[in-house]
Amino acid sequence: MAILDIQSLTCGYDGKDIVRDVTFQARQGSFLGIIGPNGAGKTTMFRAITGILKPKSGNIFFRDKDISAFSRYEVAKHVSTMPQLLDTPFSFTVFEFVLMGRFPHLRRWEKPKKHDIDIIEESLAITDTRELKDRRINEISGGEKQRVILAQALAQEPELLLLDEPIAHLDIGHQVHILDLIKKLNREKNLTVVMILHDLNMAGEYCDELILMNEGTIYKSGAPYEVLTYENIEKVYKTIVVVKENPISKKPHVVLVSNKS
Amino acid sequence: MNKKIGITSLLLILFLLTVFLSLIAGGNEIKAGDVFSSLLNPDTDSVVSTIVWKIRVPRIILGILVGIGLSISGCVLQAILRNPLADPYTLGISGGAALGATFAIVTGIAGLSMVSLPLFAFTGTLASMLLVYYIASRYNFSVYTLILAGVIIGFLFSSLVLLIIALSDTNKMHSTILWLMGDLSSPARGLIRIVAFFVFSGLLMLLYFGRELNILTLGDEKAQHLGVNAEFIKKIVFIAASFITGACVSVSGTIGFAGLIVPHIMRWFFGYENRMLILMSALGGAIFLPMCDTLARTVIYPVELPVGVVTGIFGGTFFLVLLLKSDKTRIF
Repeated sequence: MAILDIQSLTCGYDGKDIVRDVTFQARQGSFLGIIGPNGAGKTTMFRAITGILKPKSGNIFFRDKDISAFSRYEVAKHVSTMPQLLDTPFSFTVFEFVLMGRFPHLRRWEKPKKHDIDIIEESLAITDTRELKDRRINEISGGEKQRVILAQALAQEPELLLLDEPIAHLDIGHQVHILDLIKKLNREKNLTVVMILHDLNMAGEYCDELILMNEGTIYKSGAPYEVLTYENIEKVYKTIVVVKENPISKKPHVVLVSNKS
Repeated sequence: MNKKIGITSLLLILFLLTVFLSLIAGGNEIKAGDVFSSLLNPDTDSVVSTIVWKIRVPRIILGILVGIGLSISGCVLQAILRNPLADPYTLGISGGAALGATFAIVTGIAGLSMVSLPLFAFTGTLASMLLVYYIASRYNFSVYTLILAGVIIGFLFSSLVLLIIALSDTNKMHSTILWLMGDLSSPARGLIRIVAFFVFSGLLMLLYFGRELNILTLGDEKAQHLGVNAEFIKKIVFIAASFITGACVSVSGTIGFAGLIVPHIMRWFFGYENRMLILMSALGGAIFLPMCDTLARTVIYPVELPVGVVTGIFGGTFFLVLLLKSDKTRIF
């Protein structure tokens, strides 16, 4: 069953269409990667899925119900997001920060109950951030902060997790750590993941299915070996590449070719 | 948690102490005992009773109200603007009030009745608030537009104030400048009630939206993904803070620094959760301003300093010490 069903979505800003006539589905428990050059409309599409941006035409269904029929709170109870960077001018403690993930589930004057605290503890444990919980969010490292942001997203108890370049500014160790974590959540908790990634090799390595976007439309979608071909990449990114095979995972591996070679 | 209860108790004691000192301090050679006997017997017709009930008590009450108002406004504006350097005047409110007040003083309207100056000042704040609201609305109330609009309108109005001052005679120039530096003395009873109404209804409203304020510090995008209507909350908070600040400033002049420093000190003790922080900023403001005002009228008695000067010197020094003694990450 498709948890997310996008039907001929067109949306954008100030009359300019950034995403044009996009149709795709994400099955329950799938791990979907969205790739494409800067300005291809990936983030804009995410904003439409979470209801921040109203579609100009087309529909977005979450579990067969149109997302525009959901209130903000209802969307936040089912869908959570993880951005590339989150600027935190006020240094809440890690615990307080993760507690904010319970916001859509708590009423205005309701104190977090044992159930909420358990979920927070679990989110901290999964993301390996338990020992950070009394630290301040601006005192921890970039890699730790990104895991804490993931913990907050998990505290929302999402059925669908949208990640917008979650590893863009991390070193390779932390990149693999975060993506392994998300893969584990996807496998063990059957959490549906849709992730925007710039790193084509990481996308091929972790995602079951890829969508290659270009100029607001879907250029190609399918399994990583179908999408990550040198023809597709050269056409969309206008860059010369060679596609090999990762000797361990047998997934496609994109090798860049600079002008000098 | 125990630490927070301890600090709260200390602050409450400090509050009572401030009120006590403020009642007995000052010239006129009044003994503390006489002050209390007249407090207990409000109907006596003595000179002491008149000074206590007609001059000191209203002044302390106004100091408390304005202290609360400026501190909570500063606190919530720092949250919605995601900027620890914001204060109640960042969004141009002081400029509007100053223009209204200056106009009233220079034209002589201020002398007509006790309420004419505050009325003009409040009209000025409404004008600046509407302008900022209108400009920011055109850009979805984004933080940058809001700050930019506030700063521009503030500057524009302040320049007009300077223009009027430059063209007026020395006497009026002096009164205007003194008003701008803040004055808590001899407010009319009715005005105190109006300020109390704005401050307390505003306080309740801001507490109501306290949890949204926490989420809003993560930025509009993340806040919306957590279910908060960011634009709506920013508008509501802007309006509430503007009315609170406008009411305070119209009666007391543009007293600086309280709205910036009190929330910071309270964050230092109580953390960043905004409901707690709004309440504690209210308590902090209720101590800070009456304390500064007591200093202002006693430190070089019989000359009375403008209270805005004392808040600046006193608050600035305190803040500086805090900044120099703290480890780097904690201060904001």
